[in-house]
Amino acid sequence: MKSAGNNEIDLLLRRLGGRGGGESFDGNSGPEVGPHLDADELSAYAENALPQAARARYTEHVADCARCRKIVTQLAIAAGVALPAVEPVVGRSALARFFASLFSSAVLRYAIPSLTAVVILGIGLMIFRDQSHSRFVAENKQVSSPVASAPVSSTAVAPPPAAEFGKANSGLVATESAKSASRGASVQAEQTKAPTQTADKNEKAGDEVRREDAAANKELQAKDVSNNNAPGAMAGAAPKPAVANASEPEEKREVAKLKKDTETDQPVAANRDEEKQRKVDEKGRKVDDVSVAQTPAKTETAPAVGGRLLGLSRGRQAAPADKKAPENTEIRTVAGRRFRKQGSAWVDTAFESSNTPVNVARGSEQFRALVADEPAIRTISEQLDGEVIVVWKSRAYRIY
Amino acid sequence: MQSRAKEIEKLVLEGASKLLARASENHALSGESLTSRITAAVEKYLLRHDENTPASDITDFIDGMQADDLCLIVACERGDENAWNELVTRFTTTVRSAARSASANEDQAEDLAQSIWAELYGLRTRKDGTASSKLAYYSGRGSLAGWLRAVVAQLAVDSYRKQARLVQTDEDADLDRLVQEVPGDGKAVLPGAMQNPEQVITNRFVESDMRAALQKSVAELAASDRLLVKLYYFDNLRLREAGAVLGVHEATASRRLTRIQGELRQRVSEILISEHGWTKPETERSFAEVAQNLDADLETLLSNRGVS
Repeated sequence: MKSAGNNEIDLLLRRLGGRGGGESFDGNSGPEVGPHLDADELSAYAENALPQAARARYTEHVADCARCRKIVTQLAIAAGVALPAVEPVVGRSALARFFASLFSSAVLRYAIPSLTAVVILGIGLMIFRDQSHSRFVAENKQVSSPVASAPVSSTAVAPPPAAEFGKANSGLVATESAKSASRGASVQAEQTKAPTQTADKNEKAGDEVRREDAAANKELQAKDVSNNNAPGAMAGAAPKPAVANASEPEEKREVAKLKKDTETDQPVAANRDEEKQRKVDEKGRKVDDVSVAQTPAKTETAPAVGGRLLGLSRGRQAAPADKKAPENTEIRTVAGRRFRKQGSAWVDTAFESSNTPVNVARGSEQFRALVADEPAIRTISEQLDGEVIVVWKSRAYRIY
Repeated sequence: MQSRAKEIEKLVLEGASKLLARASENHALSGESLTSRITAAVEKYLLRHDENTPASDITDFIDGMQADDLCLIVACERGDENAWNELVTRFTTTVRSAARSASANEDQAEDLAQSIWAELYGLRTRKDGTASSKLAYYSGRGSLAGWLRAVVAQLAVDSYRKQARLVQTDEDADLDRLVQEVPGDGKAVLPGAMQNPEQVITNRFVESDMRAALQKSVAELAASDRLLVKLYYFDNLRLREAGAVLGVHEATASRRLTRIQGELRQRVSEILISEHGWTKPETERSFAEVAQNLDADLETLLSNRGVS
């Protein structure tokens, strides 16, 4: 309505002020409106070089004097005065203008869709990650499923210590993190690469353990079997370790003990995936997988006997339970690190001889600086007496 | 009073010294040689409007003067040949260009330019016998080139008006007769309005009232708004050109014009209701009708003129 009214006025003014009409409408065609501006005033006015008061007075004349207006117009156009594009806005602070610009329609037009897209992407990423985790867990179950359906030997008896560990560890296995699950998936992948019969046997052996222990660590036992098959192990033969990993005699001893405890005549092949273990240790995993499985064997009737499962971390609260187990007296878990008792020293299981440790005396300035940066090392040094070798962030420290 | 005069004199002297210092060529002038001209400019543009103009405003005014141009003109006034040569060299083109713009042909432009130089040299004499030079009227506030263009334009307009009084072209007479017709004047009727005499008469009364109301409304506008309306509607300038005259940007001029249109419409309605006895619905309806009729009349007028 307003613009329509303006258009009507616009038409009226154009028509009435048109050629010839403007002069009469202006009322200046006859007598002059006061004295005309002189050349100096005209040029100064056209160049916008006059003080405000003088300019206002001359504007009165120029508005009503067609002659002076014409000259001023010519001079102004010839002068080509550069003019500011925008009149200054008075009354608004710079801060207010800044915030106003942040919430201006031009900014919001792009900001709102962008923020929406970011939120949707974030939600989608979270959902995708959840789905990925659940898929890994499902794969672990797939590993255990065929094993569970395998023939079970009635003579297979789970060793009591393993059962205890299994009970103790069941909850932790159930609540194992997504990373652990993915690790299980990788183990499964390796398992599938093993010789088929051997793998089947190993799975059967793992199944035996699960059935006997009724614990959640069953699948973890099954995982590590694949790489540790002993070709010489035969069903019904006297139990003996199929493969001895020379680099880890301690592990072998533990396996041997477990085998003894089971009082079974099943041949057992024990091994440990050292590389995997190292990865696990480096990441501060709380789960250690040691599996004992029966090797192949062309005699399919030979029942497999599971080995044992070690070291699912129970944290500080679970430490006493470790101590109860006779096999576990040499290993302790503190602050997410596993330590093995070697002589009078506690050695991080992730420690390698090639990694030269940094000697740090308890109470020294270096020790204080270290524990200040890494409070977990303080916890370790407090809970473990004597000499401690700990691997922390790929560096080894010998605390004495 | 005395102290005020002395204060101004001091300010002018200081300003003259700064002007000379600023000028790239001072033409061997002293500060005192500029004081009379600076004092005249201060009086003309400041003190005439406000005797109590603050000293700071006076200082700013003097500092804003064209130092080079002012020194050149003062030196010319004092008979400095080098200054004259410089003036002619620098501004011959400007004067000739302005004369061409204001003249119908090259001969007139040349005559006009020569007369300008004669005015500047002071070849004419006053009644008391002294030489009369237009250089004395240059204050130094605006540029010398702009001032010269203004001098040329004034002379051209004066010359044109003298001739216009003697001869009026047939075209102008026809236009005046066609456009300025109003009811009761006994003048010719617009050709396009001949179809329905009753409607034509009604429209003319309506148009007459509206024209009077619009004329009054425009006259009541503030000077700067009135100037904008006249520059845009009567002088047919573009908004950019009108803005240049007003010293504002084109966009500012556009916003102002939109505001003025709204104010004019409201004021015209008020005048029609209060002074011409119209009702509000009549006012609303007539705005559209008159604008439409005027538009149609203009088209008819143009078409008839094209035929004849």
